[in-house]
Amino acid sequence: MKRRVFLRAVGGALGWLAGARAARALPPVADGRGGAAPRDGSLLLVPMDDAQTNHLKAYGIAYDAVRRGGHTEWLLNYRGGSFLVPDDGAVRRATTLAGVAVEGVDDSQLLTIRGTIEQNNMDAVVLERAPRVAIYAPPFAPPWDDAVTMALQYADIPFTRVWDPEVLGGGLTAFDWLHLHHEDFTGQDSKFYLTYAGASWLNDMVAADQATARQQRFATVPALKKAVAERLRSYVENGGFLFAMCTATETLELALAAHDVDIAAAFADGTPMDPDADAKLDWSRAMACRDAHLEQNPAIPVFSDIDGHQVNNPALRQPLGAFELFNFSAKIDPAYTMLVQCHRQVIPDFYGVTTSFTRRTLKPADVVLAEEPGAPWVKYIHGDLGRGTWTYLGGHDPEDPQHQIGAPPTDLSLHPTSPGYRLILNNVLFPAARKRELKT
Amino acid sequence: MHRIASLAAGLLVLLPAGAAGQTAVMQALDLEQQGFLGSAAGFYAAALRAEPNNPIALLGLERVGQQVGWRDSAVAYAERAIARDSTDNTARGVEVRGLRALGRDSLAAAALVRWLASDPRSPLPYREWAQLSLAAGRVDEARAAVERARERFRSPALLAPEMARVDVATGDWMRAAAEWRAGVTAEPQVAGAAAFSLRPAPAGTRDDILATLTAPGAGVSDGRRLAADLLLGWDQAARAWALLRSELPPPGPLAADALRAFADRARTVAGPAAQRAAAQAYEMLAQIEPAAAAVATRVESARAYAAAGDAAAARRLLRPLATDPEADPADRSAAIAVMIELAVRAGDPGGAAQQLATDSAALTGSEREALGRRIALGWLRRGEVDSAGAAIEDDGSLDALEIRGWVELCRGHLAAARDALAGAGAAGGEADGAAERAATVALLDAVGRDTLPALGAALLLAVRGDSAASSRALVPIARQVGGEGEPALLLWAARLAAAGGDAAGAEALWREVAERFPASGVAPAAELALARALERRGDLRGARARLEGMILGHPQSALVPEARRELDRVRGMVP
Repeated sequence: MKRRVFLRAVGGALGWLAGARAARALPPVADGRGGAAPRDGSLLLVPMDDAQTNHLKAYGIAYDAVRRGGHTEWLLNYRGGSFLVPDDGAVRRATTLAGVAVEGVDDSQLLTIRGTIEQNNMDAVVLERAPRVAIYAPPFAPPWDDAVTMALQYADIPFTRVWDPEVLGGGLTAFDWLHLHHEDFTGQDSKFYLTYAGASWLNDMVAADQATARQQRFATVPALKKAVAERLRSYVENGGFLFAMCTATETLELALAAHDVDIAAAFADGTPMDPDADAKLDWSRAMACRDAHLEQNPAIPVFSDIDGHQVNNPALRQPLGAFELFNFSAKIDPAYTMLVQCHRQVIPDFYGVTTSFTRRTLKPADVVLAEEPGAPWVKYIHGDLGRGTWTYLGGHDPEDPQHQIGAPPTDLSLHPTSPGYRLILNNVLFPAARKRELKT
Repeated sequence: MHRIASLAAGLLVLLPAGAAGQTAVMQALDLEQQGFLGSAAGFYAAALRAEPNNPIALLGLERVGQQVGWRDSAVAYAERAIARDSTDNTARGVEVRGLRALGRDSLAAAALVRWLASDPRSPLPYREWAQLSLAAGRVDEARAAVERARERFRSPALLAPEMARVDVATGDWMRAAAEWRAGVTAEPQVAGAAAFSLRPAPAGTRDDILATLTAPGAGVSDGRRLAADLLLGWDQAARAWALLRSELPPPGPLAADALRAFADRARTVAGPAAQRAAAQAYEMLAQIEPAAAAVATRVESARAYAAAGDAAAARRLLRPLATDPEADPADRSAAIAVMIELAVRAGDPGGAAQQLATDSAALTGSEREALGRRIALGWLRRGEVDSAGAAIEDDGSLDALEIRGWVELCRGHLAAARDALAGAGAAGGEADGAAERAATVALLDAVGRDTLPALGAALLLAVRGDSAASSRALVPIARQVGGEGEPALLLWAARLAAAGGDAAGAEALWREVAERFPASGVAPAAELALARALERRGDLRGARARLEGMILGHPQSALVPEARRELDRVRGMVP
């Protein structure tokens, strides 16, 4: 079994407490003011169960606490995956402004929490370094929103936008975490050329991609995107954390597997798809998938049978159900446990151009984080590659299950406790956790 | 709750089968209505154990089962029902739908084949198949189902509504219109669904759709009615009325049905054109209805004319009724009430009061009081406070208590006004005015005076519609009142200034309240209003500072959630 890295709290939870301060009585506080002046070394609990009033902004609080160097812990499976953050003026101010519920924790309460964690399927993970976050997003404004961008903006987690020139120029080394959303790495602009023919946004998108390809000295957009896909793979191999949603998941897999075969239709690169493309795909290069079959019809905005729901193919479209998060062993598999922290176990599904991942096309080493029970597809998958990890979440927007092109963006202030958006933000904090050796 | 429900469901076996089934169904329907879906599913299942072919229980289990993840249970009970009675089409439908919902397409197809075999003369299996395929986005499959049914039964218009939906799904609006025309002719009850289905048609296709629906031939009457309904939805009420009117059958029940359906529909559409169309249709309907029914229709027509802004037409219809001593008392009182309301709305409370006095004998006591309250508000809007008070002098209702509160307020009798408005509470007066009443009571508490005629005079200016003058008059009163009343009155002055279009004046007053009276109860409202004003004129940094100051300084204020949302917007964290 290859070496894998995992995460660990410093010296174990009880060990941390052994060096704790003298007992202090700190009353629970309903909000950041709470009447009591903050004291050095004391902690606040940010509950993440139904007592929390704004789960999404709580991630921003934790991120900021880590960024400022405060001792911050993620209490896996404890009250929905709560956080312990320093009780200082900045945190209190931020939680009050954000409407994030916090509770003061004195030493006896902390001891109780530690004991509960020790005796149950829970663990405490120290968050030690605020990840540097990049979002791969085009310099033009597409007529759809990006759930991750919206989540980060709402939670007030800083990020940098990168695009093909930065990726090809080695710019990803500056970042710990990279998000991909609705990008078509097969270089066919989501195969929208027929459905949205003449739409100004599509014309702008095609023109911008072609200009980038010329600027980067690639003959075609599909060639450019294959090169970008290879750089993304290298980023993961070298220790990066990659999180992708919607089309980016499936098309990245296809672009990697198609390094030596033309899978783009004539409208994208001037030549039709190789008629034997299916047979020529090299799945050893892909990160998550294998043995998928390409959609040969250029007029259908579907890429392959990796996606189980086929939302843009009326003949094959599957209805939405609900997906269920797996309950991992927090002490043995803290990494997987972090990714599924939520106050809901079952979450209504949501469409994207790629909504789900067919079980048949998953590699054996993939870890399924969430599935629709009984369905031939899964929703949320994760895996290792080299020194890094990738995580894929199908669908476009957890709070807009039928998202249509041109629809207004989701206002997250109306969904501050969204369980679907929590899955995205779990991924953002994931690289902040201290690494440790695999226990099993 | 769940445990109790389970226990009760278990006890049902002690009752005779039929009674137990009925009892369980009633329990299940109650529980479903209350949102206890899991428990409701248990009772539906219990009912089906007693009566396997109970259609209400089977459909109920299917309905709630979808929401609680019991889809497979409905299928199992449906199969049990079919085993007892192979002609149970309800159970057949539940079985097919359930299997499709579970993703067991091959089993669903097999169930459909069995259904076809068991009832070869019924088109229902084809309808179910088409509807399921449409719901799953399998348009071609839905079309094939309809075509197969038509071929089998040699009926080219069979399942026209399903085929119309297929055509809409593929964007073939003309074919959809033709199918809907056939559909509403065969099944008039689908007319509403037809209009709903065709309404989203692109603007460029609408004339062709109308031409298809109104072309001569079989079903033209139904088609033209459908066309008129569509025109109403496409904001062409006058054209809709003209079309309907030109195609009316001779006076009789058919014409009456058509007019009634059109008028009722037009009445629900906003805008004067639709209200006028409704009024005209009701008026024509009144001419062909029996005399007894026609009176109420004429009143409704007058109301619609009034809503369209045509008071003269409304009066023309109502006057003969209101003055006819032989008319049915209920009809006559309705006519009088509408005429009085029209007079108040036209700014003539004196005329309204005179008519109320003249026709008083034709009205019940509660009708007189309700109209008196309308007249009182009309007097207030004209600034005639004493007349307003007189109009409700004998009215002891909670609604009148509220109006009495406004009257006393405008007189400057603050203690009396406070008592009356607080007494009206949430139950009296207009429901959507409860917040305004509460805010006024809070203002009067802050002012803390029993009488202050100047304040009454200033507020009366606002009641009469001169917000700017009211705001200007309130400021010196606020300074004179001092204490808690000063910031509260300044906040009101700011709101009135904003309503009167004086944005700068309003902003200055909000700033004064926020900065001079930071500890007052109204400071959070002033901070929030000031932040919004700053945001409106592009000062996002200033707006953010205000909002943060408000949230941190008043964390317990009921306005904090609103301020947080505003802060998110100012910071670009939400769209």
